[in-house]
Amino acid sequence: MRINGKPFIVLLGLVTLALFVLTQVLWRRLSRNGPGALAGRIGLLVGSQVALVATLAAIANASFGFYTSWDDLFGTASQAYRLSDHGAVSSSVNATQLVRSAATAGTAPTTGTVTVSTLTGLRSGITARLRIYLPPQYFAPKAARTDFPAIIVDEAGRPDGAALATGLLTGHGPQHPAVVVIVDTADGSALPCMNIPKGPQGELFWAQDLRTAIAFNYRVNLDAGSWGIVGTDAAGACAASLAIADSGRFGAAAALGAWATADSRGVLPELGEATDPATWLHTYPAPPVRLLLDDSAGPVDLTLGGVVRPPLQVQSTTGLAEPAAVDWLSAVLSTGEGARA
Amino acid sequence: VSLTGAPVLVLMSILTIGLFALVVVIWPRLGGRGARPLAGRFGVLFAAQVALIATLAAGANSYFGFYTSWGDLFGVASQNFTALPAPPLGGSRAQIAVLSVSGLAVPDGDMPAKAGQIQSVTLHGLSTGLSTDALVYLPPQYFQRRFAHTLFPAVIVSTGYPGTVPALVSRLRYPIRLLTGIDTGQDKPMVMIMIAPSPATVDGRDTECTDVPGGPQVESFWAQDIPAATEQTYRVTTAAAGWGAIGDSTGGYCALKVAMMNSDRFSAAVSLSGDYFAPEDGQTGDLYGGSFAFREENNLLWRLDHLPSPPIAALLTTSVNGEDDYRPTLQFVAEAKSPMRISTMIRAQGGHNFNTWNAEIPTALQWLSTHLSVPSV
Repeated sequence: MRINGKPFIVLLGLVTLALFVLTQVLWRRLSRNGPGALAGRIGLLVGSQVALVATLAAIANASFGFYTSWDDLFGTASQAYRLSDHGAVSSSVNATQLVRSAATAGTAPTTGTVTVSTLTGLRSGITARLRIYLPPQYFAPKAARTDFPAIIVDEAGRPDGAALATGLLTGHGPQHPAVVVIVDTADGSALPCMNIPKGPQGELFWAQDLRTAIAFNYRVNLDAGSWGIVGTDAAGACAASLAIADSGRFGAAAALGAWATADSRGVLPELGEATDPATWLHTYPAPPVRLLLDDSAGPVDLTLGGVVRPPLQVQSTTGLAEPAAVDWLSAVLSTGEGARA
Repeated sequence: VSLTGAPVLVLMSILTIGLFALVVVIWPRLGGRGARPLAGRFGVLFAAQVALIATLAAGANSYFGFYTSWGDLFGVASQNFTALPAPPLGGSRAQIAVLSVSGLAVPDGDMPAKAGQIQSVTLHGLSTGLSTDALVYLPPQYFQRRFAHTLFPAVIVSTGYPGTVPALVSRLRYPIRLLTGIDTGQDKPMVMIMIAPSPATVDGRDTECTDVPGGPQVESFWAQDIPAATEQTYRVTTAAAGWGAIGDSTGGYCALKVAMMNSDRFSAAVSLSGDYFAPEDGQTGDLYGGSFAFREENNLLWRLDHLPSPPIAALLTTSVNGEDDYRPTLQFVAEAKSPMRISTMIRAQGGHNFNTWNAEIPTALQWLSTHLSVPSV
């Protein structure tokens, strides 16, 4: 009879019931004085209690699946197991997300370089084109062991990626040395920014695929304080949302243009307000993040729902351009003294 | 009165014995015919039975470590949770407060450089505002001069739900098993952060390590706050290659889910008898913001079906006879794609209990030792 089978439980239940009935039937007979009747009372009571406890224990055991065989209960079950070990993930897996797709432009020690690469996200499956700018300081011999901050510019769905890259090489590089990653797509489409339920996993792309791809190919560490993100219009809402909700991965963001009124990619339609940055700031501790917001869409205290508490720091400006936002990020991001990934 | 304390158990035992004696003594006086003696018979029998069952339930709870507090026990899925305010920027509020330290019940167990040390701590999550009690095991090497500058790998160790953290030391014996493994050359030193799956501040709700929309962000607590707090306080690596998670039952689901969703921070997960589906019941409440699609994203088999398999190694354990998750485990193995690496430990029999996990944990610790980047001893 199986320990977790119905027959066993039914049997225990019947025994319990029978003992209860027996107790009632024998009650008068066992009411006499004398050692025999006393022993009978104690025996019958003990029997009833054991039967009831056993029944309940069997029911609980069967429903939770604690012990599924008698051997299991008594510890005599076979301890034998079959281990099939399929090893660890190759340490190069994050680096291989990035494939160089064009010749490098620029001169390393003077202007810095821009390399066009294709990123195929391991976790999101999303493919994007990256223009990766390395500042001239990156190539200085004394910086050979230095990590640089990384600034992501979300240009997906906008036509300015190539011009921005050219600008970086022609004297409009960031004020403080930083790796700048301009992200767009070959077909000009926008990229999702949050993990859309049952849809594209934007957060996995920006927060994990992109960050690991850069960190495992360049001297950039994964500390949140080394990572900033810039976007314009809807991409600006996206940048602000990412930094607010994922402050363990991003330390700063700049939202330009009409980010506050744009059809925000920072909110999940499926989950509605719960993912809105304003709701977030009302519900959770303020993140240790710096934001630069264009206030042309409305006063910042309104656009962020009126909740700006330390350690969140917000600066606002009007009519900011992307190169200036990159400058600002290069100044507020830390170079990161942490261990290399 | 503490739910798991000896006073409650002693009190209940005395009551149980007292009621038993009462029934035996007043038995003759309830032997008459009529409604009142009948009611009396039923009443005293019922009282004696209830007292006994309550006593045994309390004893079992204390032994198996299901619920630690009355709040846990009666904790229904309240949508309330407490979020602590964040410290000012640049402030360095301690994310881990050490409450007490203790040794291990082995020879020289009180010498940290020989047996390591267990620290009882409160861990404050800065990004989620959640906080929890944890036991941190630091291996002996952590205290040895040779390793004074070594960054150790770190593993989150979780109970199931319901479950209590001390049971990880007293019943599943993770620290002693790791110490034994290190001493016999089978395991590598690692720091273990032992927790229950839901942080203490969610008041007994079974959150299944979910970032509840508008509610407690428990996935983020595991993936962001625990590593950040541990890295701030102890000499542990920040690299994903050195971070893993292990747990039984709900803790196993959590370990696997958190690693799958945060493969930039974790590289290995062990799920001992864990399941794969995103549960919803009276103790979880609505964890998914009413969204069926978001619930699917917390279903690990759905993720394998619809998303790229993440770059982590996982060890899944189950048994052919005795576990409900046997078939789902085989399905998981079949559907996982590169670069994910799935190892399995499959027993012929064994249920959802400490016997099973006790038999599996030594091998699981060896597996973690070879799948995490560790310093050479």
